[in-house]
Amino acid sequence: MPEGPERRLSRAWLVFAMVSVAAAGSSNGQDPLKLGDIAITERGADANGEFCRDFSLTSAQVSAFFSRARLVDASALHGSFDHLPCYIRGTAVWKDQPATWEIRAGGTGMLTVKAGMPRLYGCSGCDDLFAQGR
Amino acid sequence: MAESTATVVNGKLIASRVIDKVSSKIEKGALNKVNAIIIHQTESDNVASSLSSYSSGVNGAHFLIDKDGTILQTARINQKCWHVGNIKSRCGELRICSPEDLKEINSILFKKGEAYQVRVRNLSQHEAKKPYPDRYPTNEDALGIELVGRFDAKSGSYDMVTKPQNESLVWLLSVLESSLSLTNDDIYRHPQVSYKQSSEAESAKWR
Repeated sequence: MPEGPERRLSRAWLVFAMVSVAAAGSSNGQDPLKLGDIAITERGADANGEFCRDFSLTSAQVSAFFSRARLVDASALHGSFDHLPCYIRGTAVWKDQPATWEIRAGGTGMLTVKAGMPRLYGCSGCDDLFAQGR
Repeated sequence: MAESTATVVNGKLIASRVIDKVSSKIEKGALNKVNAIIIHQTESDNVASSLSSYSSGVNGAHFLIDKDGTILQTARINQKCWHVGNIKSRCGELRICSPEDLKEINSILFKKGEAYQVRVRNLSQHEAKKPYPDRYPTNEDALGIELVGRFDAKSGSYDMVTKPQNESLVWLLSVLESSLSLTNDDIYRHPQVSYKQSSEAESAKWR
């Protein structure tokens, strides 16, 4: 059945809206990373981590972190971010593969699929997720 | 160990074993007083990669030592480079703060509702007001030496510093300590000073 002008228009708006949402989600220039089945399994701190021992994130905040963070190499992560002593670890599903992840209080993260090399992430626009104890 | 004669001319170390690769892009203004030297590792396994990242003109250090011990000078020692980042509280790490300072440090570090990254930055600014050596060195008064070495994210560890690298490091430190009137107490591994992976430069030995 041929589409009428109204139907074509509404489809065009739908495509426009989908593209806009995708663009907003990839404001860091990369496709936003989407994790499923996020579970938090561990919270902890390395030595001298007393000041961030209350570090905690919800599953929704973990999802938000990885969707906003940039995939970076070790050099960029080291040069642009502090490696803070407090961390949260857990499991998730990424691209239908079981994965483990870690997020540190300085805005750094790792995602590891199976026994592969960890993918490193840094988020400079995640301060709102890391403002604890409000 | 190879020859040890070296002189400093206009911020450049003149010695047969030092290759001049000074890049003005990573020089960030006059460094009037050098109080300390910080040892880093590069997170890459070759010099070319580090020199390439220096060409972006952001972070960099004054010297780069390759795995075979080759020493490259990448910035003049009378110029600042960005290689330190936010510094920790020295008195806090050593548990020797005055009660007043400890109270202020805790109010910064434990400030509720403030992102941890902001707390750490505020602490660094608080510390930077102190005279050296009451605080850790910063970009304002420290030279940086990078040792080429890859970081393995899986194990959380850096490459072991090679024997030729370590010999060159010892030689370079002795020359710089002598010409800048520093002692071994003024030499730090990067994670001592800043919030970095604890294994960085851990295998470097100079004491």
